[in-house]
This record gives sequence, structure tokens and C-alpha cells, in this order.
Amino acid sequence: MTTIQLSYNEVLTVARKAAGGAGLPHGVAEDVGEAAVWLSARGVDAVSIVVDALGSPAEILGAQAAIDALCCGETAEIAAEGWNCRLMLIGLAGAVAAGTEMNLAVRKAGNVEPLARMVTAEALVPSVVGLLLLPFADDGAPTPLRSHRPAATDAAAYAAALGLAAKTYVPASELSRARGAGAGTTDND
Amino acid sequence: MNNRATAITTAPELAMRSPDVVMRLRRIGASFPTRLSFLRSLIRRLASGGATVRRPLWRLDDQGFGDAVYTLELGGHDYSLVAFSCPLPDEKRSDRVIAEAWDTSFVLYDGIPDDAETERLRENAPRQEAGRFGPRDLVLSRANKSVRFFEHVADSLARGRQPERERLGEVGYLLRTTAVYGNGKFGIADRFVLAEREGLAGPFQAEMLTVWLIREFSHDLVEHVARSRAPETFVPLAPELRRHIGVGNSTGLGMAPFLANHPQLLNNWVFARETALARVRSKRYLDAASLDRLAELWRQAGMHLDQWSVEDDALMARILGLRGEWAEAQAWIDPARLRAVSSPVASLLERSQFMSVDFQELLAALVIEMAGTENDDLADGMAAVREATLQPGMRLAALRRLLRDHYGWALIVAFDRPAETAQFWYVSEEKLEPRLGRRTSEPGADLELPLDIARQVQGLAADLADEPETQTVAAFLARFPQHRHVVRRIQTAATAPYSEIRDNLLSDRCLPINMLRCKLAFFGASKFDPRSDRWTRITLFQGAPTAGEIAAGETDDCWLPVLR
Repeated sequence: MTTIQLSYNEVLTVARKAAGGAGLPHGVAEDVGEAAVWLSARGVDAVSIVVDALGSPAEILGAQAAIDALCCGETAEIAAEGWNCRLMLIGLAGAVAAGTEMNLAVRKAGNVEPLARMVTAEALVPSVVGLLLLPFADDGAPTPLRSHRPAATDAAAYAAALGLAAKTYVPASELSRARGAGAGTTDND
Repeated sequence: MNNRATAITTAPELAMRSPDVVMRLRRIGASFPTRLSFLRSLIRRLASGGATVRRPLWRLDDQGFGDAVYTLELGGHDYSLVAFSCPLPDEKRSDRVIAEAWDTSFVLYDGIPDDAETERLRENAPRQEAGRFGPRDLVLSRANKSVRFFEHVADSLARGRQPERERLGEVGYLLRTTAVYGNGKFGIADRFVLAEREGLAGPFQAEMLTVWLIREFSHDLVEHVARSRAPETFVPLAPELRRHIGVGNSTGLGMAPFLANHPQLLNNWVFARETALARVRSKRYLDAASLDRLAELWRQAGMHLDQWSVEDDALMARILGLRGEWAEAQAWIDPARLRAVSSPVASLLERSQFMSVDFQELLAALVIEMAGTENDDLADGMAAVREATLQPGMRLAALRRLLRDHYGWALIVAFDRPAETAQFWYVSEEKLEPRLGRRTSEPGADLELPLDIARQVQGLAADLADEPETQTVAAFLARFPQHRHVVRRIQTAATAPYSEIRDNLLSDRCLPINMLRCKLAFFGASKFDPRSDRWTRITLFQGAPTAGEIAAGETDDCWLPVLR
């Protein structure tokens, strides 16, 4: 597998644009971008996860709605069973936990782990039973990004994400070039 | 909608200007730099930290082509500007983002590069967007020569004389940057790395440091070329002229959506400036030193206006009007008069309401400048760790209140009028840059960017109309996920009143140049020189201390440069 080393901002941007290209509303696509950053800081090739998940945009919408409901107490727990892309679900929840004081956690067989303290994400997928909001504030400091660079990205997945993102671009025309910034001037002054 | 500038009172003594006034496109398009502008913060940090610039590498041929490295220590870290200068045929010299070659290219490097790293950067920096960069590369930039002025300065110095002051005043820079990339672009380091560094934590501090060092390089480059031509007769730039040579910048539409895409950050910038203004406004009296400073700055602003001329007819007319108003209002700052009134700054600002918006904003910047260091603490609050997050538990009744309190400006836009949707923002497939199209004559409106904030607000209001007050945002968005973006913006406005440009960005009256000037003024730019309604040239660091003078801190010309 050929990989490419992106920056976090590149991971965020390509994930958000790919989500937009897949037809998700802009506000949801923004959250997909944040989820990709959270996952990629925890050892996951997030762009690959996002590309897989975008095969079923309705599931991403459902995951986001379920997490919103969890955060405001309308549901007690999200059962992991039934979600095709659990890492996307966990990434969306992780981004919420990182950006708010919501003490979201994953339930595994036998214990509960707050997302704010999670340092790796990929290995836990088989053991996750559900997502829940703990009823008390976490007293530990959140774990910062563990690395100054995100996990490496599979080049094929990156190309697929760029392909989805490209659906949001408008082909250049003579008119658009002529009306673009800086057109029609000489810069040899 | 309230049009008075003093409508919001946040505390008994601290009257903040209303966002309905401050955040209008026309007013942000009249922005001037202030003491809180980012290049000013950088200069103060460099001075207080005793920064010393070294030049460990200078390997240029007689024509000025080759490599150079400048290094300084700030906050316990070494940073280096790695500069590459190459021959460039005239036909390839373009300010446009679609250019593929430049006279010079630069990387701000984290540390001091060894030979291997310098070689890696030499392979990539001149290629800019086509290159690939790594986590030690903090900022990427490029610049073209102001060819005729560069040649004039080189020729003059080689002949043993200084460049003509008039030409220096007209141009003001030797190099003009056409992009300054940060925050992870093309693989360079992410912003959060710098946010942890003392000295570079504030907004755009690494980018400003890069530009300040590029300015130093430009001075050294022209002297090197001149000395190589005629070592016997060469003279270096006179210090006052060297100080007056800044760095040009050419900025286009790519910068315009930034303000709309970073509402929390925009708020923090404007909130800091408005807080500074409110503090100064609240002064009950001005002491003799402040009155003297006010008069001195008034003269300086007047001289700056006299030295600011542009080809753009619309802006030149505004500058001429401003010169007239400035002269007319000279009597306002008579010390005897100001000593006789209570709250003299508030009085001046109130009186300015009957002058142009340009006058009002220049006066606001001036009184902040007059207060000196009193407001420097506010610069520390201008960064944003992240944009706001959604609050899914908010009840729709609360969301409706926010809509009513902060988005009245959006709810009154008549979108049934074609003029209100005449334009659309999109990303061009070519170079992936934002552009602005005419809806009726250009393709791509089906792919427009979500900068239609006012229209989104109206769409949300319509869908909210029949929903119960006690319903949560979570339940609402489960049925209407298309409103997620605008709901988040509206929730942001609850604690960030200056987060939104309060005008319809699709309207045929929307001029992107106003958004550009707002952002560039926060950078600290002056001498705005629009080349159309969608791109402008500016000057950065003109009048600011050079590397050799930085220990002395800010000069009087840091605010609005004047060639004396």
C-alpha cells in the first residue's frame, strides 16, 4: 500500500470536501472533517474511513443525529451493533468530546473509556459495545494530540477523496478566468 | 436595525459599538490598521524578546540569484527564513494565483536547516503549490520584484546615490508577495504546533515573521546587486529609506471567504479592537501628554493621506474626501477645547458620526493609537483555539431568540429580488481557488459555496416556524440536517457578537474588496491599492523597524507610514 503523509489541516479539508461532494449538507461535512482529525490523531487512516463511510451518507446523518440525541439526554446510549462504520461513529463522537465538555465514552465488554482520554482508536472497534454520555464530568485532563502529524493516508483512498471533493468544483471557463482576481493587468511594474 | 454606533452597552462605562454598525461591508471595507494589528504585535514581541537576526548563509551571484538563510531566536526556539532567488522571464511574472514561477520563494523553517534540508527546500519552495513540505516547514511564500523600482534602487546605489524619494513614496517595496501559506497547506506544519509556541501563538504571527524577514532579504538583495555592479561607488540604503521600504502584497478573492468561514476568529479580532476603542472612549479626560500625542498622530495621519494615492477612481475619490474632512476637522483637537469637555474622546467619536465612514474608522484607529500600551493586553485574546461547536440541547425557543437578536439584518433581505442573489461564490477547478460568479451568465451556481448566510438564515426561520418551542436543536436537526451549519453560526453569535459580516454576500452590491481590506487591516497593512473590486495590493511593514533596529521597538511610523 502506498501512503501519503498529510497535515491535519489537509486531512480535515479533504474529508470535509469529500463529504460535501458525496452530497452531505455543509454543516455535517464540517463535522466529518473534525471527526477525521480526531481519528487521524489516534492512529487511524481517517481519510480511508471517511471514504468508506461516504458510501452510505444516510448512515453518517443517522450517526450524527444519534450523537446529538445522546449529548442532550434524549437517548441513554448508542448501541454499536448495526453500524457498518463504527470508527466513523466513534470519530464523530470523539470530535464532539474534544470540542465540548461532553464526557462521551465508549462502552467495551467490562469497562467504559472516555473518548477524551483515548490515544488509539482502531484497535478498539471489535470490542466496542456502545457509546454513552457519562453523567459526571471527567476529572482528568483530555489527552492532547499525540503526534504533530496524523496517521499516514492510503494514497488510493486519498485519490478517491479528492475525486469526491472535485464534484464541488466548477470547471474554469474563459469568462471565469477573465473575471478572476488580477486578470487583465501586467505585473512587470 | 440600529445604525447608531454606540447602541450596545456592555458595562456602565464601556460602550461598545453595535455589530449592526461595525460589521457592515462598507464599514469593514474602510478599516485601518491599529496597534492591535498582527504585525504590530510581532514587532513588540521581537523587541521585548531582544531578537537578533543572523544571516548564516548568503550564497548569491552578482545578479542576485542564489540562496540565503536568516535566523532568529524567539521564545526559546530558532526560526529560519530560507530564501531562494531565481531568474524569471518577464512574461512569467504574474501576481495571479495561477502563476507557476516567481522571482523569489521562501520557507520559514522550524530551527536552522542543514545542507540536506536546504537542498530539500530548494527542490520544493520554487515550485510552491506543486511542491511538498513537512512538519518543520512553518510558512511557505513567494514574491515577485517590483521590477522597475528594484532596478532604480539598484542602479542608484551602484552609482553612489540614494533612490529618489518620490519614487520610493509611490511604490514603497522591492518585493511583492503573492501568497503566504500557513496552517498545514501542502504538508507544512499545522497551526496548533505554533499555537503552543511563545511568541508565535497569536493569529498569523508566523506569517508576519516570514514577511518581516522577507523585507530584510529584499533590502539586502538590492544592496548586494548594486554592490556587485559597482563596488567602488556603491553606497548602502540610508537608514530612513531602508525603514520606509516595506513588503508589497497582492491579495485576491482567495482571502475573502476566510472571514465568513471563521466566525469565532473574526469575532475575536473585532471584539479586541472594539474593546480597545470602548476603553479609550470611556476616558473622562485626557492629560497633556495624551493631547500632544493626539495632535501628533493627527498630523501623521494627514501626511499619510497626502502620500496615499491610487489609480482606482472610487478609492481615490474617497481618499480625496477623507483628506478634506481631516483638514476640516483639525479644529476638533484643539487642546483648549478638549480640556473643556468631559469625555473628550467620546465627544470626538460622537462628532465623527456626521462625517464619512472612512473618517470615522480612521479616527477610531487614531484614538486607539493614542492610548499606546494601555490596550496591548487585548492582543492576547485575538486567537481562537477552534470555531464554535454545536449545542444540540438548546431549545428552539432559545434559538429563535438568538435569530431575532443577532440576525435581524439577514431576515430583512428581499431574496425575491434578483439583485439579492446576483452573485455566487464557488471554487474553481483551476488552482482550487474561490471565485465569484454572476448567477445569470456564468455556470456553476449549483455548486456554490455556503456563503449565502442571510439566505440560510431565512431558510432556517421558515422551517422553524411550525416547530414547538420546547423541541431541542438535536431533534430539529435530525429532520432538517441542511440547517446544521447555520444553526452552529447562530449559536456562536450568542457569545461572539462580531462573528458575522452583516450584509448579504450574494447581493450585486457585495464588493469582495471590502472583505479583503478588513482582513488586511488586521494584519497591519496600509496603502491599500485596489486593482479591481476583487483584488488589491498593499504594503506591509513600511516604516517598521528593520532587523538592525528591532531592539528599539516600534517606531512612530509603524501605524501609518510617512516618508518625512
